[in-house]
Amino acid sequence: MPRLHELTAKEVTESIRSGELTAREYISAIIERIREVEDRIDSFVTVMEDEALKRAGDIDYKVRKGDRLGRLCGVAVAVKDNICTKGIRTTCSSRMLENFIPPYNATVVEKLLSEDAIIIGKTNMDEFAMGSTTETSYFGPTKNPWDLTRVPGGSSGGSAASVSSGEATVALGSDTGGSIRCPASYCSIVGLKPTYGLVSRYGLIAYANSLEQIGPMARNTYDCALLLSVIGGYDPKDSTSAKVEPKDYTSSLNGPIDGLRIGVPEEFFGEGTDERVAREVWRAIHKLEDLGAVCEEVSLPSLEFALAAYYIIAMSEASSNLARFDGVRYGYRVEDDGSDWSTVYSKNRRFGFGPEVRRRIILGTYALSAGYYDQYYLKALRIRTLIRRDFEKSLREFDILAGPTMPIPPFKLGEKIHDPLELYMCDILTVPANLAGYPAISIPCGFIDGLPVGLQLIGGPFTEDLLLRAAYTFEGAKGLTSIRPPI
Amino acid sequence: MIEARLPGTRNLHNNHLRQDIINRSGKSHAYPNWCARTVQVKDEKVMGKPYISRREVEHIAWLAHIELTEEEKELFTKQLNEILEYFRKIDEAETEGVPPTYHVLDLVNVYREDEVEESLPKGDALKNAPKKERGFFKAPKII
Repeated sequence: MPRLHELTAKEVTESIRSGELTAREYISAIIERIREVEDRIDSFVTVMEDEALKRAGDIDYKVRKGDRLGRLCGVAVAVKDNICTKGIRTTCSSRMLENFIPPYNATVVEKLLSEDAIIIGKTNMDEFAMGSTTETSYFGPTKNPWDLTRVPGGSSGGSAASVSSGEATVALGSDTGGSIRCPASYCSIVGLKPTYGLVSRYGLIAYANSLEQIGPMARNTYDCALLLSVIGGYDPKDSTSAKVEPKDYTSSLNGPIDGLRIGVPEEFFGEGTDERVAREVWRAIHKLEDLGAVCEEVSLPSLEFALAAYYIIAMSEASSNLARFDGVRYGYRVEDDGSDWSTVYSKNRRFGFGPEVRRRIILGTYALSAGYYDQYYLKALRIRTLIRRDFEKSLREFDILAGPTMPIPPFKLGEKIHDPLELYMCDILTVPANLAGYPAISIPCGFIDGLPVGLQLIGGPFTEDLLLRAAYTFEGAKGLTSIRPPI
Repeated sequence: MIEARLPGTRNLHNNHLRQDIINRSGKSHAYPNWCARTVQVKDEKVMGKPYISRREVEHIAWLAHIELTEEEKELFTKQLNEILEYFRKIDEAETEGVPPTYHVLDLVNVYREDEVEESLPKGDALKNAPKKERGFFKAPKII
């Protein structure tokens, strides 16, 4: 019999519906778990104990009255702290927004609430989602539940760690260049970056708006599919949202993967990929073959340029998106000593933003400035076209592409934080999907000396159902989801 | 030192350039070898000039309204040069006649009906403002 905090979202909703479990009992167990492990992991910026218990009470009342219950009734959802929650501070793990309390909910939050989910807290992240370790958080790093001396990945590291360690049932993250898949891989959970436009970005505090998507994170594929079913679909409040109907992704999980054509990009196994990671991932690919898939190597030559192009585009967009933080309408503001506006803004942004955010804004400003625009930004956008073309071409030949999520296993806290470029390199296998706008999922596929390894599957636009089905079939055969971190 | 190298790049070492990186970054082997690569050697490289000078960093930071300390100017100049060195990798890509992708969804303009809807109450809009006065945001001195 698993402990209550180990229940899956499916089990929680079923038990609450049947009356076996009350939402209050479940949320109390989750809060208990948070008290047990949080001071070692630091997943959360804000834990919403009182609000969560109150909502659990409301849901139990609905159960007693016999009201219709939502698809996520009683499920404890951890929400990344760059997604706006009305009345609950939303910091982006930045001093700039340390005291920011949004006056409205993000669309995804509204959707969670309308399905009777319970938001348990706001999770730690790299400041403004800029990083791959959560170490750039103003509030300090989150630790990897599998090894507390190592990074949990990032930027949605708090979301991944909270789900992995049982402090939440599922979580929302955001993925600009791998920020859902990287921590999912490092914490041995399932994380999906949806096709660009599938999930509304209304209420997501922007970093690089043409690249980022909100997506689900869970301990198993079913829960991931369930959460995606709730948050997906067109939203008139997001003008970049795609006109697609919401879909129930849980209903197609059981289909066969016989004859599924899987392409394995050779670029994903270049010299930057740790041999042990490559071995585990190849083993997973062979497993998929045993399950009926047909695998073949493929080449996407433009991937060589993806990382540089990604960072140029992301930083350029960041320099524009983060221009709004001037400390006037919201955000950090220095004491007024009567200085002119330019000096005050410059000081607000110096003290409000951490070094990585400032570095990216400055580089983005540089890449967009007269004389460099063509050389950097425009060139990167042309490369983006090449990458899309390579993906389109290979996905005519194959249904999905497979490879590692991360080129190296989780590393030590503090190991890379002082060399920005070395950290950027960790994103090499995740950024291509963002540049192309394609969906990608990371699923647990093995361990190296007790440290998790993730398998990444990438599909064509709006083929989330196919990715989830492949993941679900693999998960069922491999049986890794029952292995939880030793915390 | 990380052992990883950029997947897909092979034999892109250029000892002359690598030496140059080492000299500029001032550390002998903390720089991953996958960052060394062949580039079109530009005049400024021959002269040993950095991609971005300290004065340029100061200017760009000023444009971006970010104050930097003296130490940060030093550190950022070094780090930005390392990153820009890597970014020049894009020069190797053949993009003649390739259109740019600004956005993956081929959206043009998205319009909605111009109807008056409920807006955020003034009190809510002002709630997060660090400084306000008589129902207005209070900005720093402009003139």
